[in-house]
Amino acid sequence: MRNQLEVKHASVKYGSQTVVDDVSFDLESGAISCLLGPSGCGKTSLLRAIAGFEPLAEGEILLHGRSVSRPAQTMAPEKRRVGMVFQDFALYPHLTVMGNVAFGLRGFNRKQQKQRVKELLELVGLAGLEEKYPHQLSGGQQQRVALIRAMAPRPDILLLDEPFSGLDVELREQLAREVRAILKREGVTAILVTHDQLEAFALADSIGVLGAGRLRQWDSGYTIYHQPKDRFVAEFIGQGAMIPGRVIGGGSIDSALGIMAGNFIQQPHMGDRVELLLRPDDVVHDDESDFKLEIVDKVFQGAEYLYTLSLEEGIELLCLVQSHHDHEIGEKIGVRLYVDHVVAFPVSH
Amino acid sequence: MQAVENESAWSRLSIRINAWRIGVPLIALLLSVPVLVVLSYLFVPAGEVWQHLVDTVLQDYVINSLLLMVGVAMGVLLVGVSTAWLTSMCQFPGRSLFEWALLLPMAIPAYIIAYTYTGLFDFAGPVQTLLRDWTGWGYGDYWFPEIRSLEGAALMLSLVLYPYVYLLARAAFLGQSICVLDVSRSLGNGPWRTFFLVALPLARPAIVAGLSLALMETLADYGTVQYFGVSTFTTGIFRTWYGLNNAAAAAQLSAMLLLVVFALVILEKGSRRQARYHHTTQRHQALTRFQLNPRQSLMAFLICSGALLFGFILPAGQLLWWALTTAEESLDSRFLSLISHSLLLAGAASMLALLLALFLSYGKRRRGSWPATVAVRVAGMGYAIPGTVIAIGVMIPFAAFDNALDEWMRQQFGWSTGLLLSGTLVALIFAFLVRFLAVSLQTVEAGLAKIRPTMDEVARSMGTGSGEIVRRVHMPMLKGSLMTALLLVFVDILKELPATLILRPFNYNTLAVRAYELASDERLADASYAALTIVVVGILPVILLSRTITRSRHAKST
Repeated sequence: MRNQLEVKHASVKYGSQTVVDDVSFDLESGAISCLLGPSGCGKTSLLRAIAGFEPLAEGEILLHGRSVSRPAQTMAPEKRRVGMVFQDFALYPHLTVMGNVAFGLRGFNRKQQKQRVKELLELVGLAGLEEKYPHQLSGGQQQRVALIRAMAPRPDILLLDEPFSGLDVELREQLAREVRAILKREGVTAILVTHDQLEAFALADSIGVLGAGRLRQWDSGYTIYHQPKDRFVAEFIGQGAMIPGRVIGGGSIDSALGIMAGNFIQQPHMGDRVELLLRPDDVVHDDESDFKLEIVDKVFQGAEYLYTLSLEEGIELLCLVQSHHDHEIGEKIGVRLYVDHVVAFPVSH
Repeated sequence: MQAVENESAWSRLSIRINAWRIGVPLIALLLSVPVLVVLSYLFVPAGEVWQHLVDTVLQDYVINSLLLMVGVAMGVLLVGVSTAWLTSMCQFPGRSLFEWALLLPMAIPAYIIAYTYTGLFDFAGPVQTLLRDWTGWGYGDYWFPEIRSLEGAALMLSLVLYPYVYLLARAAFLGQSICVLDVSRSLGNGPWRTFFLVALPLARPAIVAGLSLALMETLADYGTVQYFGVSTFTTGIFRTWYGLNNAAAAAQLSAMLLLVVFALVILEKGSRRQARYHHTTQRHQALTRFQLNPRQSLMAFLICSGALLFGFILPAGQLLWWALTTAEESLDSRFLSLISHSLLLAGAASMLALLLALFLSYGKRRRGSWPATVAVRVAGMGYAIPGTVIAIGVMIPFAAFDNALDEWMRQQFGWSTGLLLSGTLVALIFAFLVRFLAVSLQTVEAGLAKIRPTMDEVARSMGTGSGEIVRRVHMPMLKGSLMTALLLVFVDILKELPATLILRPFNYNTLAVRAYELASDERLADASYAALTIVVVGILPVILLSRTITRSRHAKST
C-alpha cells in the first residue's frame, strides 16, 4: 500500500533549541497513529511541522508523495490538504454548525455543501443540528463538529492535537473509540497527538513514543507496553517494577526472583548488572503457588486490586488481581510470574 | 516549480513582516512625541517667566488643584461606592433601573454641567428668583451658596465622574459575592457589618482604580475651573501660553502636571493588578441580595435617585428647557456648520484611530515580541494625559517644524510655506490620536483576543489564504468591537474641549468650543443647543456600557 505520509530525519528547532530531533516514520493510507509523550517532548511541534506551521531545520516531509517540507522550503498550510482538530476545537462562534462544517468546502455548490454536511452530521450522530451555534452545543458535540469540519474537504491526512483533553475524563475514552470507528469508516489517514496512553491505545493502530525530541519507539500499543525498547518508554507507559539482577551464563539472569531464562529483547552480556521490568499483569496471583510474598500496600481500582508486594528489603513488585481476591495488608499471597519476553535494561554506573 | 513559488511567497511574507516591525514602533514613537517634548522641559533651565510664576501664582495652582482632587475624591467615593453597593447587593424598588441609569451622568461633560448649574443657582437663576419671590428678600438680604467656587467645581466634577467608581466598585462587589459574602452572612454578620468587614476591604483595589481615573479627569478638566474662576494647573497653562505668551514656562507647568498624572497612572495600574487577586471566585451564580425593609428601601431609593437627579435629570432637563425656548434663534445655518465641523472632525479622527489601532494590534498579535508589546503600550498611554498638556506638546514641535521649513524654503526658493502643520486640522487630529488612541486600541485588542490563533490555523489547514481568513473569520468576529471603538472615540472627541481650543484652526468652531464660548459670554441659553447635542450623542456609549452590564448579568444567572 502507498505511504500517505513520510517523515525523513525531520528536525525542528526554535533558535538554538532542538525540539524535534531526527525523527523518521511512514504512515500507510488509512492508518491511524498516535504521537505519545510527556509535555515538552516535541510531539506538538512535529504535528505542526507536518501541518506546515513550523519549518523543518533538517530532513523532509512527504505528503501523498509530494515533498511539502524541506529546510528553508515550507509549503504553506493552506496548500497541503491537511485537516486539523485542536484541543480548543476553534469553532467559529459567528457561524452555525452548517457554516462551520462547510467552511473548507471549495468547489461545492450550495446543494452539494448541504448534502455533504448532512452526511457528516449523520455519521457522527448529530443530524438536525445544522442551524445551531457552537455555544449551544455540549463539549462532546463541539468536538465532533470540529472533527467533521476537518474531515469535510477530504484531506490527505487528518491531524488531531490533543483533541480530547478539553473534555471530561469520563467522556474521553468513549469518544476516542467513537472517533476511531468514524475515521475507519471514512478511511481517513490520521495522526493523533496526546499525552494520555489510554487515549492512544483506544484510537491508534500504531504508536510513536517521543521523549526529549527523539522518537523512542514506533510499535503497536501491546508491543510498546510489554516490550519497551528503552527505560524511558518503560517508565512513561504503564506501571511496573524494576528488579535488579546480574547476567549469568547462557543468557539467563539471576535476581531476587531466581534464575530467569527465556526470550530476551536485547541479548545481555555475561556479568552485566541489569534491571528487569515486571508489569503488574506479569505477576499472577495463584493460591497454589509456593512463591509467597507479603502485601505492603493495596489500591482498589474497581475491577481489580493493585497490590504492592515486598520481594525483599527495598525491592517491591506490583500485582494486578481480580477484586474478588480481597486480601489484607500484611497477609502473604502466592504468586506466579507470567512473562513472554524478559525485558532487561543495563544499569548505568 | 514548487521551490520557486515557495520562495516568492516567503519574500512577500518577509516584506509584510518588516512593514510591521518598522511601522509599529514608528507609530508609537510619533505618538509619544508630545509627552517627550513636554517632559524634556523639565531639563530646560527655568527662565524669568517661570521664576515669576513661582513667586506669584504657582502656589495657588498647586493648592487649588490639590483641594479640587480632595473634594472630588470625597464626592465620587461617597456617591460611587454607596450606589454600587446598593444596586449590586440590595433589593429595593427601582434597583434594576438604577443599575444602568446611574451611568447616565457620564454623558455630560463637566464644563456643561457647570454652566447649567450656574444658570440654575445663580442670582438671576430660577431657584434664587423663586426664593426671593416667596420671601420678599432683595439682593444682599440673604446668604446663598456660591456655585462658582472651588467647592462648586468639586461638586460638579463629582456629579459626572462618580460613575467611574460606581462601575469598578460594582464589578468588584459582584465578583466577590458568592463565597466570601455568603460566608460572612452565615457567620451572623448583617448587611452593614458584612459591608465594612468584608466587601469594602476586598473591593478596595477596584475602588482605588476607579478613583484614580476620576482624578485623572479632574486634573485634565479645563472648562469647569476656567468658568468658575478657579486657578489650577490647566488654567495656569492656558494663561501662561496665551497671556504671558511663554511656551517654555507653559511646558514646564505641563511637565509638573504630567508627573502628578503619572503617579495616578501607577496607582491605577497597581490597583488593577491587585484587584485581580482580590477577585475571589470563578463561580457565577445568581446572588441573593439583602432584602431591605421599607424604611431602608426608601433610603436606598433616595440615594440612587439623588445621584441620578443631580447628575443627569436636572442638568439635562435645564438644557432641554433652554433649547426649547431658544429654538428659533439657535437653529440656524451657523448651528448646522457647527454640526458638520464636529461630525467631520470626530468622524475622521475616530476612523483614523480605528485604522491605527487595527494596525498596531495586528502587529502585536502577529509578532507578539516584546518590542511590539512595548510599542503598543506606549501608544496607548495618552488616555491619562490632559488635553491641555497634549496640545502644548503638539504645538511646540509642530510650530518649530513649520518655522524651520518656512525659513529654509524662503532661503532656497524665495517663497514662504506658511503654517503647514500647526494651526491646521493636522495638528488637531494628531492630538486627538495621541489622547484617544488608547480607547480604540483597548477595544480592538479585546476583540482580537477572542479570535484564538487556532482559529486562523484551522482555516489555513482548510486551504484558506490570509485575506480570506480576514474576510470570513476576523471581520465577522470583530465587527462589534470595531463599531464600539469607532463610537467611543467619536464621542470622546466630540466632548473634548481644551486641546480643541488651543489647536483648532482660526475661526474653526465645533460644538464643544461654541458651547464653551457662549457660556463664557454668559449666553447660557444660547449655548444649550450645542451642549444638548453633545449630551445626546454622549448617551450612546452609556447605552453600550449598560447593555454589556445587563448581558454579563444574564450570563451570570444562567
